[in-house]
Amino acid sequence: MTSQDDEDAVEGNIVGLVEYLAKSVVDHPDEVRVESTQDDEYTIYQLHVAEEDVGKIIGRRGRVAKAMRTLLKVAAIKNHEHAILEIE
Amino acid sequence: MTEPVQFTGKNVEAAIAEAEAQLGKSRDDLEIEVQSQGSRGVFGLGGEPARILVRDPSAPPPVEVPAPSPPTRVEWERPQARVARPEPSPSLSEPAPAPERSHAEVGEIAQPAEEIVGAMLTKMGFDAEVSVRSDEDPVTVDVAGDNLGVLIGRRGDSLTALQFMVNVILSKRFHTWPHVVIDVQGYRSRREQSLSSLGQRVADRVRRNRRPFTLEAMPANDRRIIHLALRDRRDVETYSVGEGPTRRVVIAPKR
Repeated sequence: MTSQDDEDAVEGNIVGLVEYLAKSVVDHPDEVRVESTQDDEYTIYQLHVAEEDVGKIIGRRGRVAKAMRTLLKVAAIKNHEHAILEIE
Repeated sequence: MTEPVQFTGKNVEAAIAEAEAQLGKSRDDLEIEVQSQGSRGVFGLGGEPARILVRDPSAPPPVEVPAPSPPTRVEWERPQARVARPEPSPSLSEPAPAPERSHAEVGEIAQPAEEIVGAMLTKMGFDAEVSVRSDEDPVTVDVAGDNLGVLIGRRGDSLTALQFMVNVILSKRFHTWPHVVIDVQGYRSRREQSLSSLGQRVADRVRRNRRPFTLEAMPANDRRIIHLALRDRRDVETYSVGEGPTRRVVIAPKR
């Protein structure tokens, strides 16, 4: 369980998770960028990848993106936040 | 298994279920081509069985598969092969993952699999112990620790996502779909046991009542466990009905 104090570290963690997953799947890992923005309720994680890698991130029938969103949600629950993944 | 195999059934659904059971794979992992829908005939007479052609995705995908979502894992590492290299090239493509793999190959996947799971869990904020059964095929990564329920999720949804991502990442590295299994606190083995025994109990009842019984909706992997658990029984047959998240296994008396 996470205390209030280390929520910043935790957020870095989820950025790291999204980054790790994306970099492991694409052809151009150096073009992977993850930014997080916080509004009142949600933390929004924006994932940018090279244009030709978008298909890889989405996967057939959207399975990769769906799995990444599920894992992001798990990490968010674990760290007591509401998170959204946006893929650009 | 690079050659397509034909399966038949009383309808397309039954034929696909048969293919899933025989190949031990979910339809999501297979390329399925319907050759004949089959027909019922009149009063049960003169009906034609449905025929489908099933290809294991280890084969290079056919050229006509529409991009960007070819239903095969080849997508991950070599998308251009779809167009430029429709024929398998022995030097470039990995052999199909045969049910029995050599220990060398299995061992090669085991350690990276363990590392990937460990890296993901740490980043997700879990303090868990990760170990791998590298002497087993499929390679199984075990995760143990406290408060891991959220990692399993509803009906194993989160665990399915975790396992899928680990296989996607490994397939990028090894150019073959590794079929690594991830288990959390023995969830999968417990689930498999309870599904098998549920299947057997319902099958016994179906035999006594001589009436088909429809189980509750389940994800593909759970349905597969039931199909496999009952495939050797001579008194009942199994198939699935419905689509997507409401897909259910039917256990019916065999004629």
